[in-house]
Amino acid sequence: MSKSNLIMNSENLIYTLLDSKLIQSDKEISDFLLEIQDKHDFSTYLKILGGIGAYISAICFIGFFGAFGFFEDKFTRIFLGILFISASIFANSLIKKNYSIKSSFLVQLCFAFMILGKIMFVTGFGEFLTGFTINFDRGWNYSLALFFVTFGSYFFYDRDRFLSLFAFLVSILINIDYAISNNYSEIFINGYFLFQFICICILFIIPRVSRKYFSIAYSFVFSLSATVLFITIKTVFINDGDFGWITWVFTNLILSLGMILLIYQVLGKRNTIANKAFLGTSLGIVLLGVISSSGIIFVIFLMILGYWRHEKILLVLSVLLMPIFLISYFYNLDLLLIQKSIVLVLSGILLLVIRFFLTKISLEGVYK
Amino acid sequence: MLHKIPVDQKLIEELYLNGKISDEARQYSLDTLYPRNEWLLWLLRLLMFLGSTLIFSGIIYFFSFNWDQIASVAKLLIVESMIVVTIVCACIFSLKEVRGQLFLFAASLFVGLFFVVLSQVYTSDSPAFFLFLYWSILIIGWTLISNFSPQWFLLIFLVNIFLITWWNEWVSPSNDIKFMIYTFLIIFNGLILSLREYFVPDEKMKWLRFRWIRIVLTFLILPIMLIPILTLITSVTEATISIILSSVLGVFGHIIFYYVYRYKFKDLLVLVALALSVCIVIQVFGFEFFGNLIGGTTDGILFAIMGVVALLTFSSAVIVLRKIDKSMESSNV
Repeated sequence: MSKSNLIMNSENLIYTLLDSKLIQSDKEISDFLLEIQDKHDFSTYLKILGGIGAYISAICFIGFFGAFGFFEDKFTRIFLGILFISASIFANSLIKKNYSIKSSFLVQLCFAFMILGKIMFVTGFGEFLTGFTINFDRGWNYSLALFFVTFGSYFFYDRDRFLSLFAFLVSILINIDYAISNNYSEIFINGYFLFQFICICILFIIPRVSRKYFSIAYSFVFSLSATVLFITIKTVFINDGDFGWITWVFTNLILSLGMILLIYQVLGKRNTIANKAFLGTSLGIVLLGVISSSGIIFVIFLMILGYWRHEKILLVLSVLLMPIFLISYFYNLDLLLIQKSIVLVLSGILLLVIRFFLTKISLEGVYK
Repeated sequence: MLHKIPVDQKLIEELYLNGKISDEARQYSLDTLYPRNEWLLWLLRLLMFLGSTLIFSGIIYFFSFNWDQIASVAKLLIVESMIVVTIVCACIFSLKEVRGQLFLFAASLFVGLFFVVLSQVYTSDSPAFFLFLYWSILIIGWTLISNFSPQWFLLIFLVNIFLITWWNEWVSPSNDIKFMIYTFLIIFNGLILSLREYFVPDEKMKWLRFRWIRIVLTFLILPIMLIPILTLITSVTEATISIILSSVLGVFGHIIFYYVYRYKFKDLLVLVALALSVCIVIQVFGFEFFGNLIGGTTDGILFAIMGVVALLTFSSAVIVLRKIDKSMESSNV
């Protein structure tokens, strides 16, 4: 029987931890587990299903208000937006979470009202601010409205935190691209990239923080993915001259340094720089930084982070993004088709060689 | 009582966040629950997949570059020799190993390439579905012995494309039987999924046990069952016999899915996908029903009603599935 089978239930988990001397007594944990048993939350699949229902419902309500002309005036939108958000927060605090149909209906109604309220407020407030701004792109007004609405409800309502924050972060990216003049756009995009990357490092290196601020951590991960994707599209497919060597050097440098730090953390403090594995991996990362694109380094970074922290979403995201970045990398290579074909075959052989050595190392580990 | 509480990542995180276990204990529990060897195996497979894809793409690139300069006979000979080489490699590495399976998979792709080259060299006017038909027939044998899920998905993909192109190009169906294609697709893909579930307990078919195979097939079949049902609802007065037949089959399919994944194989994700499909049907039916009842002049009221209907259907689905999830959890511990 494998170890994972041994701790399939809580009793075995406690015994395993006691055996390993990682806990002193089982009493406190047992009481806690029994206490939370009935409060066990919905599975993620059910949350997604409920979320889809709430979104469909919110769209229908938008249709209702739109048909009766409530969307024409910005002040009506702001007023109704605040009203729906407040009603949603208030009703959500009163709902008894006893998993009845009535309670589930009210939970979803609150969610639908929250979405409706936020859409009304953002569109209304964004338009309202446009009247006060001169020579200023109106996109920022909507970002500001998103900021107010996201952080205004953040501590009172938790169901839409991730989506709301993600929308806010992506709106900043869009505005940097559209609203800032081409001369500064590259600097701002790189600055925004660095800011998001530092936030992710801080949030995920300390597990307590990443679990406590789960929605913030993941909205930053998804937003940084969007930023890297945006940079790739700009440099590879659009190639409009806005982005060049500065972005390539900067993003590759930051991601490579971040990955070296991550590997250092993964290997543990006892295995310091003298450790052969660390030196070998660092050398590999430096080489990757020199020859590769930011997208490829980013997905490898996500993969290692997900593997280390047992964050399945990070792993899935990295696998989904990998083909996009690989295709864009080879598409962007400034080589003849025949040279590209040689590079492709050699890269493939390189990966298979890495696989061969990894298999060998892991087998040696098993036999030792 | 404690032995009835299942352990998952969420529970460990909850213990950690509430200060009941240390960071070290958290990491130890997670490492034990999700062993690192599994991740390593996953990484090795990913490297194998990426490496093979890159080499395969490199070969395709090479031919695209030199295509015009290569003589017709040489083109055919090169593709044929690639098929032979990959088959020999598959035999050398054995089909019990991923390497051998990947070579067989590459050979199956080269068979398709061979037909493409053949139709270019001889500028054949034969319909496209013949290509997919011959391609499928020629790789059936390899697929049966491959024990490799991507190989099976290639065959399933080819048969689906063959059925669609054959129906549209060759049969050119009249309006009455146009929707029969959905019946064929439901039967074919449903049969494949049934075979997967039937052979899963077989010790020799361990490769079938990956849950993603079921999930991919489910997400392929559900839309095929859903489309005729929605068409019937939106055009009930003009429904042809093929729409009715495909819809009835679609409804039966939903019922069978519910029974099988509720009681036999217990898979919450499949049940959630099924519930989503049913909720969409109710939503579309509601729009049609209330739209006809109220009339087109008061669209706003219709939207308000449908907003409430959406909340009711989805919240009922969530609660029903929550109860099923609880019962599954307790029976799985």
